[in-house]
Amino acid sequence: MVKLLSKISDAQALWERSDPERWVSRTGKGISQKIVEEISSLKGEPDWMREKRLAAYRFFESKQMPAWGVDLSGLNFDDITFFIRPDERRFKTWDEVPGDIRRVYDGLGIPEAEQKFLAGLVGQYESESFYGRIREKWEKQGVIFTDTDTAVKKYPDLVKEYFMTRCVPIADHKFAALHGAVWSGGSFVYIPKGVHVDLPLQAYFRMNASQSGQFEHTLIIAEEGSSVHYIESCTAPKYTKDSLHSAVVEIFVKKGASVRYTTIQNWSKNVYNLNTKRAIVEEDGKMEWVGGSLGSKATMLYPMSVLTGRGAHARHLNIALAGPGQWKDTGAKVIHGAPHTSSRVISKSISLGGGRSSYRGLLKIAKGARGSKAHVQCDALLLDEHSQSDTYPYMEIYEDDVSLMHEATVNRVTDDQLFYLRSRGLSEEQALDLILAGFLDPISRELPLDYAIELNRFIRMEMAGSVG
Amino acid sequence: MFVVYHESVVCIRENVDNVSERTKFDSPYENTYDPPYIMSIVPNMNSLLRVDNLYARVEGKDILSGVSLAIPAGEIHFLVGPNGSGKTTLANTLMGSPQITVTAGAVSFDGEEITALPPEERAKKGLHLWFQHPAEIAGVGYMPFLRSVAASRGDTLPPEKEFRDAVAARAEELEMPVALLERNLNEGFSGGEKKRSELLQLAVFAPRFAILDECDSGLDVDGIRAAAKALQAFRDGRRSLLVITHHGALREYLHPDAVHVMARGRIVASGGEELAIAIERDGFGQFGA
Repeated sequence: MVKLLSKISDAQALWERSDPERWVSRTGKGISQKIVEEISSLKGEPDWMREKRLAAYRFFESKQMPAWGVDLSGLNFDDITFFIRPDERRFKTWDEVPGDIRRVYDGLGIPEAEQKFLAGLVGQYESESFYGRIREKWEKQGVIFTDTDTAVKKYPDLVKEYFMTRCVPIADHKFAALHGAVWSGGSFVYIPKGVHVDLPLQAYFRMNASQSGQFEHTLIIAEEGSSVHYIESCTAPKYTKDSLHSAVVEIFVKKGASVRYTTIQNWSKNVYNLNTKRAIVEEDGKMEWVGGSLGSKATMLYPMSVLTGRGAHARHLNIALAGPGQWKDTGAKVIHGAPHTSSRVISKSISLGGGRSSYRGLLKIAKGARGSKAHVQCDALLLDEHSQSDTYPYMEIYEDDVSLMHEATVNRVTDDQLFYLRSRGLSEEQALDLILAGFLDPISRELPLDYAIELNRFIRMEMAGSVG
Repeated sequence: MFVVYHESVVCIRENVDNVSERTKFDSPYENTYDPPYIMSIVPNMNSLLRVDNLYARVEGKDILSGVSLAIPAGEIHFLVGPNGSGKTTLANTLMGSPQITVTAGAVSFDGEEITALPPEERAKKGLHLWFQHPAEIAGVGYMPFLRSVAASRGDTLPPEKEFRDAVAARAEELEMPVALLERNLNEGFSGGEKKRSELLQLAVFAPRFAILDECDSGLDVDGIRAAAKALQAFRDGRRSLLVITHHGALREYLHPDAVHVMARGRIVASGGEELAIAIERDGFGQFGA
């Protein structure tokens, strides 16, 4: 066990270690119209994108900070560097990638994973991606997997149609507007009609510079009858000053298509993580969100599925871990906007060492969404008495002929439980592992195996620092 | 016939280093003791579990005030006493509960001092506690629990199905509903089901020494018979039991080798089965309880 713990802290040290800052261009600190224009001009963007950024910036200026959720009083936009370009080039093989970036990704095991398990990979360092590759097999079938900046230039029609238009418009809320103004990087995924990508596509985002912001924009379009599994991971080193991550993910699930979006967020504990993720699901489409929120100082994230077509289905699986000094305000939103739509939400939160986790969910069944079914289950586990959990489930039901279930449980691990398990020969860690495994069982059974293993590893790492 | 310790006896015993010094006992009943129960009060005998002048505190309150006890291998001892005399605290202290602070004295198991060992280390040495109120562990399945305990002890684990079948067969022998094995550990179990669950664990883990904290309260006649049958297995000359009980029924099945009376945080009397019978008849008043 001691051996395991030291291995864990080595691994943690690996991604919490900061590497020397590298950049070829960066904006000054803070945000202004000038900075937004500078980002656009550094990127050599077409006018329509520059105009969109400026419009978003005006919304950002006019909107208030959210008065609910996590404590954002420590977040100061003037201290943040909104754009850092690590390198101007994009690489298609790891051998070309500059040594300092390459070493970071090697340490995280990314190139190896790409070879073994993935259909394609996008690697992003600071504000922009440096690597992008997709296996020839799918490229030939018309699958597009690249970074969003490249997509603006190569596929302007697709980007114009889908980028912050009807899914997450720039005026959605203050942080969506901020994102629209300063967004950079992210993945662009396009799956043509009827194509099934049977290996996952993965993006790996790394934020290295101190007091920076990362605002990647991910856009996934799954045409009729297609399917794709997209995985996103993020890490950042530990600094004493706070950083900001505010991503937007927009997913379009067309008729009969299915998309699984999996993410493991493990930002270091000085990152404000304020994201907006949303999917529009058409007739008989299936959307699945699988999320593990492990790191960050404060997270606000409520992936949303808008079911617009008859028979559309959404599944949200979320695990949030709130350790010492962390506040997780996460949940799920589902809007049933058509008849016979169905949704299932399973949310599990673990709080320890004084951490706080909140479930905030919205379930809306619109008038006319007859025969819809929704099932929400949110469970909280508190590993000690200093930790906290709250639940804010909102429901708006405008149709009678529906089936709706909401279950919520809160369990606290007590001294008596630990003593009981230890009296049988389990160490405190083994006892907690058993309780955790039991708590997560309903969700880990739903996860792809490699994801479950990685998630377990992360959770143990998080716990190693604060337990025993 | 039984020996009543006076305060002075307890004090002298702390200084007794070998058997020959037994004569220092100034008990009025000195001449009445005879084996086997006397072995339990004599220090330095080859006992499986030994408690020497143990003082312990729970939430700042002194609960144990000089408990001394010795239980040789192969014997079944009963521990009786009025409510609040410290029996459960003694049981939890012997198992190493982190919520209890030992302020003086020592506990030895198989000749080795274990006073400062964490509960899991004691369990690995063969100590076991049957909880009066076993904790309910939400979300943890009964079988995964048993398997991880077996794994933590370094047992070679048979395949899941084989393991499960073996446990189920054991449960049936003990008249425990097999359906309980599909549920979470003790979660929502009735009082009787919790007793069966503790009994099953006792049988499956097969410890060398078990402390049974009110293993019979809340059990019906059939339950007590099933429990007694399983407990008889401890009469193999190698293993021992310390049974905390309030009832005569279990005594009639097990015929303890010794009976200890606890009051005010210490052992105030020890004797043979007849001591238990006297208490069943006359109560604890005779011990100033």
